Amino acid sequence: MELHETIQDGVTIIAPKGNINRATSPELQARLAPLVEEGTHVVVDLSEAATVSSAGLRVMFIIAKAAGENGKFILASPNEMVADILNVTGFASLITVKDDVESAVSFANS
Amino acid sequence: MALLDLTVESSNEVIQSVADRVDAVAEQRGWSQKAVFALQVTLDEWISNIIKYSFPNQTNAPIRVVIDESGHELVAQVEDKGAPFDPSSASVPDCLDDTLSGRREGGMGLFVMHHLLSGISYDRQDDRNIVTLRVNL
Repeated sequence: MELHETIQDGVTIIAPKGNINRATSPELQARLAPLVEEGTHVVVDLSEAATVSSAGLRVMFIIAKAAGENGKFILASPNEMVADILNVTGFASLITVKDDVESAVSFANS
Repeated sequence: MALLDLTVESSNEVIQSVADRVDAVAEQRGWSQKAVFALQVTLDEWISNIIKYSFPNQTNAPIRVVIDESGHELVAQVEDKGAPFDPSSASVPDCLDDTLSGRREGGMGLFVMHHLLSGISYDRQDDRNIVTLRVNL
């Protein structure tokens, strides 16, 4: 997994590329945790994330809870299979998921 | 000979090396993204499970992963020498509400596996667990 970071309209966009699995999810958590703790609005752009296993889902959930009232944490652009996993596990009702990065950034700034 | 026959050690880091090898075979064989997704995620769930429950304090126990095509399915066999555990008959929650709210621990990996797989079976041979994961091609 590679992590690309950009900032758009004051929102930090983290784009993981590859597999978010048990081996790689700690790195994603380590990157996201300090951002949400300082109240930064964060969008995780999943368009290049080929897979997300339950280890990855757990990290997203932990980060979303940590973001809480401090800042906004939004997932964007999951592929069809990742969107399915988010739905069947129930995460889609606990974490904000947007179809694309643009609407995620707009939502973060709303 | 199987398309992939790989023996790795029981540490979390090896999960990515298994994933990389699976991606290489998938590209060569032209498997659909959906099939590769199911195979990658369920291998991660199952190998994670083996490491967590069978070898919590051991990083060099061998785990063998054998992957092949059979008709319209991908068949992955995962072998380990941990305590007997049958994921095909383990209780899987109907939904994850209790897991997500913290009322219940675990269950998510098995839930995801059962959702993605077309079949899962278990065999205990001598001191080995052999779990067979089936994915529709």
